Amino acid sequence: MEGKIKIVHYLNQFFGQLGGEEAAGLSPQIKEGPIGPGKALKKLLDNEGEIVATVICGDNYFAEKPEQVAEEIIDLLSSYELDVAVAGPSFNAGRYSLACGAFCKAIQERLNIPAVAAMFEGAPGAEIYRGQIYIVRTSAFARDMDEALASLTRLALKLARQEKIGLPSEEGYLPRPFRRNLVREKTGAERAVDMLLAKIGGKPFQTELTIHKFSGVRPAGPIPDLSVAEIALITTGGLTPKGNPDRIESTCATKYGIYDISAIDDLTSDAFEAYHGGYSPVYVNKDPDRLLPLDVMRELEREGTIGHVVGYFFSTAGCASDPGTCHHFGREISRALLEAKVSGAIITCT
Amino acid sequence: MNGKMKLELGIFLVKELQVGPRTELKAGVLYVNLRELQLLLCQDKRFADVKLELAHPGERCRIIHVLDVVEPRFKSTGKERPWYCGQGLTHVLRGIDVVVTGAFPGFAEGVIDMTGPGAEHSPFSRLHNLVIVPQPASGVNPVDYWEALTEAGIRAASYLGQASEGLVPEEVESYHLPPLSAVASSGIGLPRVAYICYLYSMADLRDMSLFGQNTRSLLPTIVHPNQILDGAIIYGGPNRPHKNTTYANTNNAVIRELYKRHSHSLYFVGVIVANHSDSYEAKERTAGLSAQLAASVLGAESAIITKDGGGQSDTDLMLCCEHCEEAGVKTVIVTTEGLGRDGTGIAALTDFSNEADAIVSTGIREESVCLSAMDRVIGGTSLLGRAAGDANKEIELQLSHIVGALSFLGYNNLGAGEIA
Repeated sequence: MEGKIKIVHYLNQFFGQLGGEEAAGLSPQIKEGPIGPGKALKKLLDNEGEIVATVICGDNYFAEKPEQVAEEIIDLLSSYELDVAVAGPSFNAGRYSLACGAFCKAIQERLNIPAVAAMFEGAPGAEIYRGQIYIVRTSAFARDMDEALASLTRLALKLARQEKIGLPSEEGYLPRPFRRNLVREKTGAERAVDMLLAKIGGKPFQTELTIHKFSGVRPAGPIPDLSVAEIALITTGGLTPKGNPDRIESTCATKYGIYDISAIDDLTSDAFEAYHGGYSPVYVNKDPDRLLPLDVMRELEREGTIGHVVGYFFSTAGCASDPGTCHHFGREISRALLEAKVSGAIITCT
Repeated sequence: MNGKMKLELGIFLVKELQVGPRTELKAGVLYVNLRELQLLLCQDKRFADVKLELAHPGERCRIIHVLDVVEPRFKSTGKERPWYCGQGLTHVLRGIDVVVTGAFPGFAEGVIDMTGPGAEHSPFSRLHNLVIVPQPASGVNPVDYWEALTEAGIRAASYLGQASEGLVPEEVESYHLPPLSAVASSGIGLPRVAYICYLYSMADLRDMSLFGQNTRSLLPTIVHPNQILDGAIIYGGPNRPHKNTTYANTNNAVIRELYKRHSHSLYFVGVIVANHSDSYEAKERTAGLSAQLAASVLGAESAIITKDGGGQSDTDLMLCCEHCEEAGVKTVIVTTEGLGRDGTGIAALTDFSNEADAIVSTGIREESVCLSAMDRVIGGTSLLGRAAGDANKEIELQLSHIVGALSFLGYNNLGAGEIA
């Protein structure tokens, strides 16, 4: 990269030295060069970069209409040539951290240059924006300004130079709420033995996966009167009409099917079959009622034990499915059943 | 010294695989009399026919309906019975493999691309492959047909391996782990590490075999690591493309790594093989017994645990981890993740434990790769579950459908993390 990296810096009215809370309604303005903490940032940049402009805006002004104000700021910056934008550090400030996040997001999207904010992990702006922009982790306290500026400068320069950005723990930014595959320096087996030796040696180690802990599910209340209840049938055993017309995958299924049973009392092998990678479908294919007990449900319906069997069933193949997809299916299916005033469902799993 | 469990793997580096009038290994080239091998395999009347094709690295070729991959080996010294495996000199023809293909309805697709983006993900794209494309005899039932396929793969791999008979290997890898009676007096001060290796056997066409027997009702069993390196575990389940192939099992990366560090930074005390059972009760029993074997028989202070299945196997990992930690055996888990296509899924694993604080991730299963179009397809014309005739086209597939891309044993550098 030729020449110094050109940086625009966002500050609120306080750090931008325009006043305290009484100045929180100020509209955005641009000043040439670094202001306030920007001066310390300039020292850290040394010859690598320069703050060509500082954007200062009142916290209240920004908070009232963040998207519009972000646009206003983008317009104000139209004459500037910029390589990267930085915002804050806003530490634990509520409105300020939201403004920093909105500013960076707009810069990224509209000016197509990288943008990085710096704030405390618990700040409101962190929660909302951490999936969309880089946010350098700071403490909650402005007294840690030097450290915060150092982290911010480091990452901003790397982004401007389009260098490869490492893991959150290495570069000091808040982890994004999604994961991607990546190529590590050592094989999984080598990493496993390294990790084990560190763990038994009492040395620090970093797990590569922090497990999600599932919270309990509160069960629905009992069905008040079964004899008038609508009951649905659901299966994760991969039952489909013969030929699997919707091509539901037998492992890592990405969809579920909804199939009509309103006119039949019994599932037969000429009409239905099972596609599922986790069990042998031979017995189910001989008589699909073994997987989805429609024949018995119809008996209960005739006897008056239950009110009515819902005229369609839901089916997917629950084999190596990821929890997120299953969650999504469950939400959609339960919503559909509630709208249809269904009181209960039987799910058969294999 | 007691215990003769000394295994030497004599490595032959094979650079090319070609058709020839005689099956022989000369100057790093394996020539194969395909007709002779074909006749040998067709002796099994469960086949109507068996075709053999070659696929080389760099070719615009896609192998589909992959069921298993087997490394060609030959028992040079030592007896060829299951109970003697793990001893003697076994020749290994490195650089080539046998790929077994076959279409079973309802099973998930498994492909190997020999060039293009797909080839970057599979180790088999860098090897010369001899591909078995079978036709079932009319009326043969799926279970018998699968048995025939497994045997064909092993038989072909042995046939190729035999070309090394009487020849001197270029490299020799030596594996010797003395019995536990010797542990007390050696490796003093080194941490004792065990390896708990789960296998998945649940039903016909979904079994792994240990010493020739499926592991459905296996109680946790101590084996010598050499036995696994010498072929004790054979892949037996046509489905689950993100499986451990027989090739991956005979080259078990965790065992090889533990051996590398044995007597230097750790003392490898042995392997416990366990099964992913189909009931919670059986899973808990397996986890508890594995922990007791590790702690009280092998005397391990720590263990690496690997899995062999999808979501239900995560419960085994967590139970095993908890029981081991309770028994004083510190654990590291190795696993793939099920985070969905864009990595935003709510959970990578289907179960959890507060004790599972040390996990190595070998990648997210559902990330997709766009495979380029190919000129030639071996094994069929349509991918399982998709429109007919499109096996040669450009296609987006999840990593779980690229054979060897994902490893439960950590043999490649794939991982996952929160990144930009």
